[in-house]
Amino acid sequence: MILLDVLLDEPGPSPGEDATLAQAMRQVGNVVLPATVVHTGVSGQAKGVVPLDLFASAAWAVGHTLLTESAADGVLRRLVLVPPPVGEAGFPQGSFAAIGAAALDGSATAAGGRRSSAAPQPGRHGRPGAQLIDFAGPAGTYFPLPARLFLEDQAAASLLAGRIVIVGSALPESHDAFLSPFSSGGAEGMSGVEVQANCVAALLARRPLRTCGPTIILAAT
Amino acid sequence: MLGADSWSRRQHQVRLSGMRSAILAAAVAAIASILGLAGTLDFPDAKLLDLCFRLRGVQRPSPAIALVASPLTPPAFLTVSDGTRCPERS
Repeated sequence: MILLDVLLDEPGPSPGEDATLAQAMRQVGNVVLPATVVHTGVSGQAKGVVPLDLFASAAWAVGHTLLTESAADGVLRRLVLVPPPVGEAGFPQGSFAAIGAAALDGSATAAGGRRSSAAPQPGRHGRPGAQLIDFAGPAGTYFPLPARLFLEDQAAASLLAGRIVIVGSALPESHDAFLSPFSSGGAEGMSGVEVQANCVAALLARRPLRTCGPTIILAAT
Repeated sequence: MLGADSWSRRQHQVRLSGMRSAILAAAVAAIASILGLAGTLDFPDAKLLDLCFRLRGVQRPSPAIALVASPLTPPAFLTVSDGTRCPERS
């Protein structure tokens, strides 16, 4: 399963290259693409951003990559499983990470199955709505392999066999970084692609992370 | 790839470091509480969660997941959230 964490909502500079990418996605048949929500205008109206039809039709599924950052401190602690209404026809109801996790544990249909229309199901992936992300560690704990490695050495593909492969950018220029619970003053943000890795791992966990009861919280604070 | 021994050592060191951070955080929380600042945080469960993460330390990443990051920046990476496009890098 390949989670291609790249928003393909605009055509590239070359239509031929777009067609080649779509053809490759169709050929491998296991690529999941992301969709997201942007807030536009003064009112901050939510608008869904989905892949172009060319790519969405070639992908195995499309999932949303919505996350919840704390309004109090900006730290990311939860991934959204059920998206809010965005008034966008065809906006995926299944989470990008949940589709990947379900594919690995053999329950692909539970997380949305093929295409984006099916809603996520509650169950072992925790309560519907949101799920705490079980971060393995600070930024860099999931070390990304450079894509160049696979272009230069075909044998390197064996490193990916049987695994969920999350492809994206870890470049600061992509402005896709989040504060995690491990971030401290001035700490480097975690790239979106590594956040997605932590999300998939959290959804694969046999014992999903849950908040403790109010009594324990009171006692601890 | 770390060997099992070096991984254990590293994890042990990280755990010790996490313990120190946790004790420090608890001390700060206690002082904040005495000074009446704790109420301004307004999210004790989140702070407790962060504390638990630091106490637990770094875990071994899931072997079921591989990350591939592209140095070949495609145009999509240059699209920012409001739909405008950043200038392409030279």
